Amino acid sequence: MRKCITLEDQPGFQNIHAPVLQQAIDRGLSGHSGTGKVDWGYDPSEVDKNPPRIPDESNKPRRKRKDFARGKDESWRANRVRRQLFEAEEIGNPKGIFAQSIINGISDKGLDFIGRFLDANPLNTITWHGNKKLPSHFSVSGVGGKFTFNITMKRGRSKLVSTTARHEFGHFVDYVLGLMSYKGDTRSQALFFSDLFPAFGEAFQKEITRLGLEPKKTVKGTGKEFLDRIVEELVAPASKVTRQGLVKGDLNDILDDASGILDIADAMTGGAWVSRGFGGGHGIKYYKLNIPKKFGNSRLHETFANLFESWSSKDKRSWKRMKRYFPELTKVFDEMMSVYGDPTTIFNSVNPTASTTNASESKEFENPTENKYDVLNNERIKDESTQELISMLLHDHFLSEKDRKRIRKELNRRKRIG
Amino acid sequence: MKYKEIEKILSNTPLAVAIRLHEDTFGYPPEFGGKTRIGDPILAEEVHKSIAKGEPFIVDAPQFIEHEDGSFTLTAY
Repeated sequence: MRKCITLEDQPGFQNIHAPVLQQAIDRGLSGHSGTGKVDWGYDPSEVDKNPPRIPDESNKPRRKRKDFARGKDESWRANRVRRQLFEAEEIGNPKGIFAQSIINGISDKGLDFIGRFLDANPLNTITWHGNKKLPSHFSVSGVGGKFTFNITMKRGRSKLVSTTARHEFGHFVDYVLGLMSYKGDTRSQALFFSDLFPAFGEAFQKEITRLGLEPKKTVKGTGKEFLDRIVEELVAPASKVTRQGLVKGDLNDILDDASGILDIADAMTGGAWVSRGFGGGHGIKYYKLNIPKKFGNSRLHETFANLFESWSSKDKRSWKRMKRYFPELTKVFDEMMSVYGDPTTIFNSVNPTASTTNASESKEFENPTENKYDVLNNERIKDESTQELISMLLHDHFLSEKDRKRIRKELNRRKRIG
Repeated sequence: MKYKEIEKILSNTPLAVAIRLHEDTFGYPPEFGGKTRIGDPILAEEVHKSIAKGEPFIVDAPQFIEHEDGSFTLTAY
């Protein structure tokens, strides 16, 4: 039963400022008073046949909203890393800044490595700070065999932040590879892969001997000739440095390019570069070893991080330069990466809750599995644009045959449905 | 270009100047705790501020801490 009310008597009616509503009411009333038939503004018979559809929000299948921005022309590999890093808690900067910093300066093989690595061992927290005194760092907290990984970054120039982000990620990789390869080891959990993998330490020592960097009377006197040579070759005017693969640029860019090599030289000499007083490197106090068997060797940790930073750089000349100065170290690093950097290698998780496989099954320098890495699941393939899928098929040399088949199948499906 | 010539350029960068002043003031160089950039002007400014306050620039950067509850924190810079 309809209840009739007088609109004008309703509280607040005079305050309604809704012209469309008022016009509709006027039209209805004029119809009623003029023709004896209320003009509702539509044909009721049509409405009965096709009642207005009220979408049922509860049952509507929704496309999962991407909570992270995707860069223009971004590869799926970069997008995967962005998504993985989006899962981490990011404090002190808008979410996604760290991911962008990583993506900005990294090569495809670096992105592939980080993507597979983060799949098994996600980063828990990314903390940004504006304290100009405090350095960026990687830290891990552990209790009862469970680990929480954190990277703390100092805000700064984007190019520099990108290099630093890869450096700190190198520490993360170094630590987790140590846990992964030597899980169940009774040695201290303060040890990194670079401490535990003998070939790395041996190569480090070989370089020291080859380059004449054995300790002299003073730290400052250690490796003088080699350090002078690096500076002459890398920090010289553009005409000369072009031969080394450096591009013309301002002094800061040239110095930043040389910083990884100088930092390794600093580690080998126990702080000889820092003692020259120009900045760069980590410093004498940092490299003073107290109980290396218990707390690891920070010289090896920094060397590994610098090698990872260079190996994963988008600038291929960076690794070439590194190879030229440290052939023994880069050889060992390349051997490691022939396994871990292989797109088919699956990483194990060091945290029991995040893994279905036992990390202790992972053996040193053995491919943990022969299965192809299954990154592109069906849902992801369906999400990608046709153009992106075609681009993957044409340009992505890391794609497994299984993924290629699935992409072709999806493209054929789209072709069929037009 | 020989090292001596490059050294002149490097020793005039902001951080090199700040480190020298710190050494002249306190008798030892500043302790940065982690990786620094050659000539970093922002860090140089912090060293100058510290010198102006009469405090040596020392950043404590512990690499390994064992907590009372049995947990640990390991840091690499």
